[in-house]
Amino acid sequence: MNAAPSSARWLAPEALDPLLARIADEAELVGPVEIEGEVVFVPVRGPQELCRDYVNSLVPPKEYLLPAAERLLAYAVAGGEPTLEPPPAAPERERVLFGVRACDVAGMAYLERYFSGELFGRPDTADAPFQRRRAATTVISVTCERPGPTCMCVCCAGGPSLERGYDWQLTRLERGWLVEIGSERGAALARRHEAWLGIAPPGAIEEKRARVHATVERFRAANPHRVPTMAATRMVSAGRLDEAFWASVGDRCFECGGCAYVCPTCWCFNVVDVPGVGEAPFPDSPGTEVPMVPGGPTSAVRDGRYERIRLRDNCQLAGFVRQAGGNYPRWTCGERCLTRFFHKLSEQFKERMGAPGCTGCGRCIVTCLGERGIDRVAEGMRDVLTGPGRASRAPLKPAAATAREQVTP
Amino acid sequence: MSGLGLASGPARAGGDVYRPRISRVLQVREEIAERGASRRVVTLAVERGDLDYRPGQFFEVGMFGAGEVPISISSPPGLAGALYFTIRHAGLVSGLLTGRRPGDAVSLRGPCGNGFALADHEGRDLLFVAGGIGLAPLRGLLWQALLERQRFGRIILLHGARTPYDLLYPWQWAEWKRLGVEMLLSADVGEDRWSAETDPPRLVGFITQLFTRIAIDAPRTVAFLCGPPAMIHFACGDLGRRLHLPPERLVATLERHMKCGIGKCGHCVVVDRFVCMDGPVFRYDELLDMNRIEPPW
Repeated sequence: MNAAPSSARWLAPEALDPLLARIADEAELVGPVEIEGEVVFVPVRGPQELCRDYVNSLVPPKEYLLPAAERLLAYAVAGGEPTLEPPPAAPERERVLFGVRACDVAGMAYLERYFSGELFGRPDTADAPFQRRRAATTVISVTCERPGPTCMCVCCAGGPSLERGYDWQLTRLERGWLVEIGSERGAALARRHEAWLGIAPPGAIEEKRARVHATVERFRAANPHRVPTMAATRMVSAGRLDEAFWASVGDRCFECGGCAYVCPTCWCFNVVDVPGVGEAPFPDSPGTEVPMVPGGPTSAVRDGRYERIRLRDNCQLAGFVRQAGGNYPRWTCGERCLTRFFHKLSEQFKERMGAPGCTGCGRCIVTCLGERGIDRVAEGMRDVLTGPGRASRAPLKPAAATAREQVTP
Repeated sequence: MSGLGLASGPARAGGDVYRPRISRVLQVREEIAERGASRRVVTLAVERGDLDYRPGQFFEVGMFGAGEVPISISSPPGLAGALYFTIRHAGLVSGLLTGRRPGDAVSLRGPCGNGFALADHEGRDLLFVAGGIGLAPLRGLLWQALLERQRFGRIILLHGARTPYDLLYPWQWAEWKRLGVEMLLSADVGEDRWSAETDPPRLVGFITQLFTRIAIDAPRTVAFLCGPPAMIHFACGDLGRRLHLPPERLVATLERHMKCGIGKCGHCVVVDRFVCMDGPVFRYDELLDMNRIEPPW
């Protein structure tokens, strides 16, 4: 994370679109676009394509830093002899993400810290593909004014406005946009477009604070979902939730993995070697066999071009920790749920990562078929803490109305 | 635990941590032939180049066209020229690796993980507890201690396996004995003919039953354990209760499913620890701490 001091600039209301058009000329502009009733972040030709009235996107824009599938390596095998292809020489294309919400910016900052290797004091283990992409990406965040039905960023220090983590943070004020610049990348973007930017008028910061405060008040007054982080963190960090509690969460899990795929802070990936484009997936020529079954044949793999690819993986899926030798550390779905919620809510992870693992985007509430979004599970933890006796044995209390009912008209 | 600062860390391969180096297989030794439920176990000697490491660390060893798997190093860092990997045919990639011949190419990424800190235990008696193929990671450490024999007190090796057939490195036992290793064997299931022999001393039963056969000076002993998760759990418990070894002097290595080996893919996380970066070597007190949330074994 770049630690440049935040500085306040000003953008006139009529200047935003020309500025974005200019950015789109120089770099790939990615922003929220409504497609078939859902908002998604996609590359756009200019500001005219952008959706202006949205709460948040269907999936987080982490795709632009950590794609769902990505090539790590390419090589050819000929006569059993490998040849590595050189790493991509062309620099990553400059990309500007516009309209990212605070919760997703917090998610990106979380991923950035994780992939930097800082966590282990080992910058030499930084994830090169991620770093390359992050270095070429400038994130323009836009402060939320209206919390959506499943938003919970207020509970998780994930919004509606951030202190750091963004490159630019735009907040709509009465007479224009307040532009906060939070990183060296953001400062570079400001230098390139200096002509559009003014100095924030006196009182702009105070006006922004008041607006953010009003948004938080609207959330508190009307929003049905909460993450009781303090109670939940206390319970999960100390291991005070018994097997029965996790079983009650696991019983409602369909193991679809949706929660992790839509989570802005989830990073897990699998790595597979696959025959490259234009190669048959599996050999059928005589004399060659690919041993797909443990204990199967151990002949060499077929000649050809291969790619080593990373794909999003998911701790809720049963095979996630299965070892070739037969050891299977997380046998039950409840154990897998513990892993997920420990990562999101525990003090231990918060300390290691420097930020909470949940930014309160609320997407898992919308996605979970079993209605075990992070709000319900965290509330369940709080109920165990405050409730009488062995509350964990009781199923989680039913919500007043399900997320799905509120989101879908 | 972290920040080993090894010059040959993963980052050296072209600045990209996912880019492996190509190494040649120098020698292949079949340790255990496939028989019944016993999978084939092979030791590959692989070109070492300028790679530096410490015992207990591992490499992501790969087959081009199939993928990578984490394999512990079973040779001591003092051995120039080659890296030894003892590999059991457990799945797709390990199966292909056991089929390699001298001159074949394998991919290497590493070394990964923290490794054992043998220097911290200078002057102590060393107790090795190895279950099955768990002897492989301990072998490098054992050899390192033997190469600096005068710096340590007694060296005791307890080695157990499912059957006598699955005991590892029998060809090397005589040499270890000659260098002053006190060795005891166990097999969960064993025939009379095997159990009747006495060199090395042995019993039919679990490896933890060997603890009653040895006398140790607890205040000056450190134990290193590697084996199946259940063995780590029960052996650490028993060593504490019966032989009065404190948790800080019980050092175990864990194994988990891993894809990257450098704290990125998330598969090996136990509680808030990454087995590939914070481990795979953990003290028993750290394991007990993890166990409050999720059993590491």
